Amino acid sequence: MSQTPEMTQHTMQGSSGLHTPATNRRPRPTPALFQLRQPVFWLWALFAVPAVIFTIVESVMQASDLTSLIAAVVLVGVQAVLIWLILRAIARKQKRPVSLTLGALVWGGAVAIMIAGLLNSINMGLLNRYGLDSLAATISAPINEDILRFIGTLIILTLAARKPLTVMDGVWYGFLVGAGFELLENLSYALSGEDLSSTLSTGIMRLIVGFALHALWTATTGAVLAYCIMRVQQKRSSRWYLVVPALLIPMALHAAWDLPSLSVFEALQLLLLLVLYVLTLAAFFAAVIWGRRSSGLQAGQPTGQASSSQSGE
Amino acid sequence: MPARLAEPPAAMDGVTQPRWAPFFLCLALLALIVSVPVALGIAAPARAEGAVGVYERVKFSDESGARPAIAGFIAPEGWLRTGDTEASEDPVEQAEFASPHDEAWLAAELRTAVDSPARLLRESAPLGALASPVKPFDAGNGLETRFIEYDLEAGAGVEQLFAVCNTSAEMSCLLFTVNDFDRVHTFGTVLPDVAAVLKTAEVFS
Repeated sequence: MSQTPEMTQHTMQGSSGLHTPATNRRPRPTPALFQLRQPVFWLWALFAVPAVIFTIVESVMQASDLTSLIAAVVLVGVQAVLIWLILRAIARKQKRPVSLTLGALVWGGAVAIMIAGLLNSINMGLLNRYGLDSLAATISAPINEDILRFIGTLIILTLAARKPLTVMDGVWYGFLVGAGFELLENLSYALSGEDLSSTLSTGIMRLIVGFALHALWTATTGAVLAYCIMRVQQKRSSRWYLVVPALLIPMALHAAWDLPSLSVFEALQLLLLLVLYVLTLAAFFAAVIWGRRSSGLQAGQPTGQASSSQSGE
Repeated sequence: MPARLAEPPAAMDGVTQPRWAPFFLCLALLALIVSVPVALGIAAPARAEGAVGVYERVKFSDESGARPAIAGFIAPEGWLRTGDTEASEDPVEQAEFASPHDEAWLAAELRTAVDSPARLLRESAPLGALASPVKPFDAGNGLETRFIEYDLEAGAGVEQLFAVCNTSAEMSCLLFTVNDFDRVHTFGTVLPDVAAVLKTAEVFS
């Protein structure tokens, strides 16, 4: 993915130790993750630091042996490369801060995974007492996982809103939050295998069936979220109500994906999954097209409302 | 004078001002997803061990014949699994359930290489049921369903056998045995929970 040099706040001093004129000492805006004045940064940091440590330790402990660990990492690495290629294709030449890109990945791959895993486990036990065992994944996963990824996307976009946002920013960061989640989830599933054979079969299956679903869903939500923030930046009506269906529709697709089998005949279930995947792709492509058009319009606007691609961040 | 005191304070324009609305929204959402399970846990009712939940599917598989057969049905919600009390997504050889107050009992198994539903029922029923007719039953599952019922022993209740079969060259059937101990229904009627089970039955081979 495209990378940009970080811009940092600094003051300038001449070699004599005397201060340079005030116009040269004005701090430059920093559209990076580490915006210490933004409360959402501290929210990110509070969860990200322990989550990264927890994820690393758990991944190593979960592996049945070193060979399985390496195989699982390789499989997830293949998926990571494919996701990177998708990002390059949709973002074209637009550049975004590395720290926000990594921050989105960390939230999805460490924070959201950790909290969602814990909450899903709790919910499974609770739903069992209501007789809803078979529907536990359908009920719990979309609520916990999609809301956590939404939170991560909101945090990153809030930090990115130091510059004028575009819809494509929402697609980018939403996709990254979802991609981080999916990569670590697939790693966890692959590592849960008892031996190398089950690790490989699980890893390959999750690579093929429902590839990048979480990223596609979160990218769609991110597009709408960025649109609303963009309208606020442009001092237009925000249309925040659009965020509700933008969050609920992917949640509904997620719930449908996690439904228990509708038949013992597995081909029917695969057909349903295929339909859901096509719907997800359609929503994602619509978001990408919308994002590109939004970026194009943004680039054509007068100075002061330039897109992030032109800011040279 | 220290250098930093001579500098004018950095101006906080609109883009550097702290944005509290997204922060509190994130906190509210986190609180929501954490508080909902807490509330559910407090209000959760007690549930009998082995009770069947909503939309629990029982699967059968038999690959011993010339053509593999798979079958399944949705277990009766609220009934209790007898034997293994844990629900399983893996195929089973036989499934048994008892109604919540032990007034009825249901068992199911997959039979392959079946000549006909009627013959399967005759072979599975006791000799005393020879006089009982094999009747068709419209289960609403798109499969051929026939049943036989008999009441052979005083106090033992009415027993019904249902054969739900596909129509492929090598016929396979789900054989259901229902024992209604309390005789809450008359001959020819089917317990509602059993009818619901039959409606969800699937057989493929």
